[in-house]
Amino acid sequence: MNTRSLLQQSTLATLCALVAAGCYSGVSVSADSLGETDTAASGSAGETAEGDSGEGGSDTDDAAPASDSVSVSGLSRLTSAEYERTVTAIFGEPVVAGVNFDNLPPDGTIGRFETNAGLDVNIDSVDGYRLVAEEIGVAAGHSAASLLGCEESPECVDAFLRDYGLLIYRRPLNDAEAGVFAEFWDTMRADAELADAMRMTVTALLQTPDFLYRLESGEEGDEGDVRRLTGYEVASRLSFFLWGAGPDLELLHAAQDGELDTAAGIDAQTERLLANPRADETILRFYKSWLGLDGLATQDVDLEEFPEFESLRDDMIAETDAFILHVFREDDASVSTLLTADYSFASPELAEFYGEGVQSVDGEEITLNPAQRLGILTQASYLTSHARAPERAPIYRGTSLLVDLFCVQFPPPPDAATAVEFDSSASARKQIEDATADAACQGCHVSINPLGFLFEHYDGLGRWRTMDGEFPVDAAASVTSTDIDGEYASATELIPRMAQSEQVDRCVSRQWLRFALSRPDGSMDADSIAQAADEARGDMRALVGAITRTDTFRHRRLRE
Amino acid sequence: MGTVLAPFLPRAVAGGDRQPKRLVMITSGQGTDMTTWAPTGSETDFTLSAQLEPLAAYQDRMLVLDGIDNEAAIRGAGRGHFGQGTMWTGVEVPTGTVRPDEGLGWPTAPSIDHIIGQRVGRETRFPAYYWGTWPIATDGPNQGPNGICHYRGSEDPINPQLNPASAFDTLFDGVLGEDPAVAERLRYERRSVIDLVNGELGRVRTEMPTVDRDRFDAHLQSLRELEDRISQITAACEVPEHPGDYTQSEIQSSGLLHVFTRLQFELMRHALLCDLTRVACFDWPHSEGSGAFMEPEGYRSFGSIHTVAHTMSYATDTLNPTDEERVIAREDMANMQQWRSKMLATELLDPLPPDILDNTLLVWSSEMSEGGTHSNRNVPTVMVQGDNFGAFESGRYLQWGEYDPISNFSQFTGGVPMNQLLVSLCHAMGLNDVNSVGDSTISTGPIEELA
Repeated sequence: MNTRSLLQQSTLATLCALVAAGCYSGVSVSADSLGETDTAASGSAGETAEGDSGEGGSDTDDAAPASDSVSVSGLSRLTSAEYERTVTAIFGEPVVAGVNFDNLPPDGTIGRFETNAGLDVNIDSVDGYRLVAEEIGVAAGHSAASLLGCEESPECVDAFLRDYGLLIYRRPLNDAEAGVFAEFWDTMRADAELADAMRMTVTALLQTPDFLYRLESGEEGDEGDVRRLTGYEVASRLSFFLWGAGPDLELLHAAQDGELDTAAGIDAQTERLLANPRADETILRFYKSWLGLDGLATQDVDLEEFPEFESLRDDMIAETDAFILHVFREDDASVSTLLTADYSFASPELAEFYGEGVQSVDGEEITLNPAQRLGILTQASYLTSHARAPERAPIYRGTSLLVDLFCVQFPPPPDAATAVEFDSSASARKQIEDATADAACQGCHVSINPLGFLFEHYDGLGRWRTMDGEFPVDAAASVTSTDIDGEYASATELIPRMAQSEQVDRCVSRQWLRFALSRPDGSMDADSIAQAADEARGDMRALVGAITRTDTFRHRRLRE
Repeated sequence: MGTVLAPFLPRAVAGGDRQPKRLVMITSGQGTDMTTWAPTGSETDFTLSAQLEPLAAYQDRMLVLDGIDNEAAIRGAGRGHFGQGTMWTGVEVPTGTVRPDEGLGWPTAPSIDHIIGQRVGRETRFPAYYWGTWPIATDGPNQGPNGICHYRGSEDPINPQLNPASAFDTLFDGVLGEDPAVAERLRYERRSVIDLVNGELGRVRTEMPTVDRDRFDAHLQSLRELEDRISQITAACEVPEHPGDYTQSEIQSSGLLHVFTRLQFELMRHALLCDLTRVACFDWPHSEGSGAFMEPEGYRSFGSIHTVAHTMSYATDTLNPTDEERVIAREDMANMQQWRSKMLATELLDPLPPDILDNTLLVWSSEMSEGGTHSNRNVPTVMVQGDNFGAFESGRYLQWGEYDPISNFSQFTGGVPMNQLLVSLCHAMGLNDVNSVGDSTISTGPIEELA
């Protein structure tokens, strides 16, 4: 079964469970937003992912995890981006330059995160892998002598196979495996050149399951359903999490030396990987996937209504990129700063677009007008990304806030929902209120609408406004189904409370965990999520480290 | 022009058989200006509209189908926007999580290109092949059945290849008939790699936890199919020149749509020439994209196709089009459809040699009629049937149903369900046992009037 059908089934199961439990008249705060169905199926509501804080100490060295503290992990296949980054690191930029990585098969997503977990290959995917492997093989053939690094001999070829095999298999080849490839080399070398043997060997290595899949069998002797990962498997998890690529030699050597069997050893490597500039791309990828910002580069905005967008699009993206890296790298990396920072990094054009009270500090850094803007949720990138149809922006924005930041999940809207059309007879808010007044709609919209209405001072591009067409903006709303329910005048009143919300804090922890594991979290990950959140205390750099120490990061559950 | 590596000789001809039948399926998004699309005149004596006029040389081989309803889109969730997922599958788009904002999932049935390809294309390298131009993709934030027309099966969308270089690599890889020794070596090398990978998969399959076995079995099965595909090398034919390498931002530029359309059509022609596939599908942009490419093609450029489609039909609080703006938007949509007709004639059909063209059926449709009303009724549909194809009585303008005259082309009744056209297409390609495609509660059987 592929990912898509898994997701679909679980959503339908969730929907049915909610209806059966009478939850459809109110949003169910369910732990299992995507993959795991057990919580919803049992009809329970409440943020089970929070679990009890304080349980499960950080030092789980050698201790078996509580058997119910790790949720199921499927088998992941490298995404195209992971594949490209990995082979680039192994063979070097010059060798892979010119390779058409577009031939790699398309990737799936789980929630907002890209992953091929659970996605089967078909003939076109394996054909794509073949084409790319052949291209890299040709390039490797051209550099055969330097890749080999010694005078061609059985010993030299064996050394090459073991050196590159280590990086490609992400563990040492055993003698039998090295033997298979040595024999392959010799066969391909017969009646051909050194370059041909190299070309064919690299072509073959890159099509093996050990390279294409992130294999996890667990420690030898572990025969149960929850298995402790080997040091090499932990190395892969760390590296794919923090660099989006396979591990480097230092990490593999740490695995070999047993360092990744202890929390302290994992900490040291996490710190090293995170400090490396290669993690910048990962940090951006996490935040932009989580907050739904990665489509902005190609978003279709009506340029007749928003002619400024053409020239501001790149500035919006650049602002958020610079802001994310600054908060994470230079500032305190706290959830609070991400949400409430009074500074940003807008171009002069974007600063002018933001309007009155925005002060330029040095041409790139600006200070915001705190009555109108605070942190990432009031940046044009977020506000535009969640305004694909501007008159429906409150619904899109409210949904993103609930799902992405409060981790509240609800069933899809009924068929009739998308048929609503808008006109200029009233404010967008009024029309959305009217269109969703029905009891069947209110089940979800009672929670979605208020959060969205609080952002009504921002138009489809995130520009501050006081009028919606001919109607004065009314952004005040009463938030429900969160831990900070109550009346708010506008987004800038809500956001500081979100920065203090435990629900948001736990949600951030869950989102990082999903990203780290390339899978949805299940109810049995609750202890790990709570433990990481409690250790991190809102510090997202600390959170990354805390996640890599959790039981769920260091084990694989095979089945329920 | 391409390099002739060996005299062109399709396998079927070499074997002394009749030329095989080919199906070309063209999909375009957002419909068109339906007020000026239909021909005028009678069933057999008609004049093509300006939108279809570039195909006039093919009029005696054409069937203009006025009144086909994309019925499954009307029944399913999501409505108008998501008719691409229903038009070639005949099943509605269900609720699901693929499009979280709308709560929609993937269709749960294969599209006819796949059904037909699996039956008629087993001896070609690609039972069906799919080209497209941006912005159609299953990945990225806009993924979903609003952009994907083709499906292998339930919840299994097929991404058209948007990158001509990738299409070239995949299609013509191994088509090098010049030197038998080179071909023999290539075959030998590929077999050797597959053998080795097979061995590794077998080892991993037993070493890894049993829960992972299905995944490795799927991989092994795919590898067996790949072995068949790549063993078919040295089919001597005319390989086109490499289309060149383009960056993602070029591929995703609406200002270059005309360039990529031509590149892809050239690859399509050669794929048919080389008998690499007998079901060739091409998709033009759907819910998004702009008309920036129109100016270099001699028309007026315009912004978002989506916006223009809306402007021509109705007002929203953000648009409030004037009557003049509506007229301009209708012209823009009609121009774009005329340009598409021109591309099909000059870039696809005209350059095909007669023996291929005569045995080819082209069908072109859209998921909607007028994009602004989101109507999935009366989707503009045209077929061109080669002289030897012999499935339908061609040179006809067939008309079913009628518009409510006061509805501004939004209310239409009396049309024929697309599902019946899908059955007719199956029959045309020799799948005579197919009596129903997609949701059989919508309808069954072919469109009798076509024959």
